[in-house]
Amino acid sequence: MRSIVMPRRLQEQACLKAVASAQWLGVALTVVVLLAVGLSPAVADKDPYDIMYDAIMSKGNVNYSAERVVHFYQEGRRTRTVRQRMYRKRGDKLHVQALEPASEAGQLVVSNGQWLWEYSPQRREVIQRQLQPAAVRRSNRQRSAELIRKMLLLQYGGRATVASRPAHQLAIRDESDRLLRKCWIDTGTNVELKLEKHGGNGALCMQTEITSIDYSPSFVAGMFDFTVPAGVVLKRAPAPAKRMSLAAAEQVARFRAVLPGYMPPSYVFESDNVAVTTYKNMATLWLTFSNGLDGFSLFETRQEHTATAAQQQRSATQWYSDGICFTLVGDLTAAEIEKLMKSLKQ
Amino acid sequence: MRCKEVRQQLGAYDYSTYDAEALPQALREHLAGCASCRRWVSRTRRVSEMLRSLPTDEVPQYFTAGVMARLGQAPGSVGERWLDWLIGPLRAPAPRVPAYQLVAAGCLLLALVVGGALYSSYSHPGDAQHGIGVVIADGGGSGLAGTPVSVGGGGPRLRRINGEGDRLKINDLILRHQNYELGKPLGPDPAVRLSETSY
Repeated sequence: MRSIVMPRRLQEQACLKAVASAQWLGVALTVVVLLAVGLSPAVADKDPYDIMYDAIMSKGNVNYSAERVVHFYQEGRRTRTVRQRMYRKRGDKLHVQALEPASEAGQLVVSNGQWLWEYSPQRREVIQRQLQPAAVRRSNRQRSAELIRKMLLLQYGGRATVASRPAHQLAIRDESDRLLRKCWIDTGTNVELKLEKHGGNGALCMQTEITSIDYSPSFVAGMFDFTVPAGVVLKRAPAPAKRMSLAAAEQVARFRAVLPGYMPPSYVFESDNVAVTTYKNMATLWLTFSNGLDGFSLFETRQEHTATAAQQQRSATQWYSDGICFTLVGDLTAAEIEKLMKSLKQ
Repeated sequence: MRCKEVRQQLGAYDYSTYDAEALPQALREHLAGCASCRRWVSRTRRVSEMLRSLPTDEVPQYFTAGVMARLGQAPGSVGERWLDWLIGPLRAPAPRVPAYQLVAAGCLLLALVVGGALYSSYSHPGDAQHGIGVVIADGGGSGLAGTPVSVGGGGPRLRRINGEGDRLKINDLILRHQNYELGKPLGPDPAVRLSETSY
């Protein structure tokens, strides 16, 4: 039987066509690879404001368990390290327990989304705080994100790996170019994996870093509720205050606020977010100032010039001038406090 | 467009209704590519916001009449103009401010000045040195226990701390502030703050 053999010329043509096809395929593959390589930095280099916004809005809405370390610094030196175990559940549920050092072991912070408890077995006390409703919390986060976008400068620092997870690096500065924060945000879940907080002089003052994380955690029933142990003092923090415009608050308090002439860089007065509270049973205007990340409060009470007493928690500065008692609460440098005090003249 | 031109144009905007999307294309394009001008816009908006939050003064009731009375008057010599500024309200045929109101205001002012002087002379000797009293409280175990601290060179001094009641009341304000800060993003969470204050 005669086999069918292609004529030599046709064989050559077939081979040439095959080679040409392979060449085109190779070129196409090269172009695809080059595009992928060229585009990937553009995809990774998302707008830092978008990364920040996603990180802020996802907080409290991602389930995970993790271990983290918290380092505290003073004048550039690390002074203390705390190791914690964290559980977070959608709806701002939180359970954080201190593991080390021994002097802080057993400290617990628990939230069920409506209440938050801060328990210190060493001090034998627990502070109970009522949280804002979920819708208000969301609105406040959006407000903070808007303010950060308006007042602060964000810089994308590329990608890094934290707790074996890929993360976007961000640096946040105020308008005087002072570094406020560095954060590392999980590229997949928008969870804040690492955070560095810088103080008034730009020096590092606190760092938190997740060392291991599990996005499919198991939660123990009841772990987001808290029962006050016997013999422990329960302190109830004041409920969240109703917020209103400055004009409305002045009407309620029946006196006009004194606004500072000086404002720290990138801070704004939240004029539509004023509250009226009481201090020493007197109507007190509660003004808040923020740059989106940090804030300070200024409480003003009509009060005659009298001697006052200090307190022993955190930093609060209280003075009286021209018939008003001013109480300034917040994480400010001494220089900024002094400028604010001098600028608060009627 | 150059930055100078952009800022000249943007300087005329009403920042109470500022909408970046409504800007002319040339301005938008420049801002998209110029961080320095964006920063300038951000600062200008902030200043505008601060100015809008300031209280506005009320116009006195005689203001319009006073302005209309001055219209058409020929400017006098330097001496006349100075005198007019000094005692103008009393010299005008129709006084801008009724005389009895001026007398009453003057008496009130005198009473306040004299009363204030008398009051301050009866104050505690320590108070007389300082216009304002300052208490600074910091975190810590043992508290301030009367340690004097100055704020600024030669500024006010701390007083000895007395009264558990007043301490607790300031704690109340601090707790309120902490509650408010709970919602702040990208910051120390309650577990970090608890650890910080336990040291």
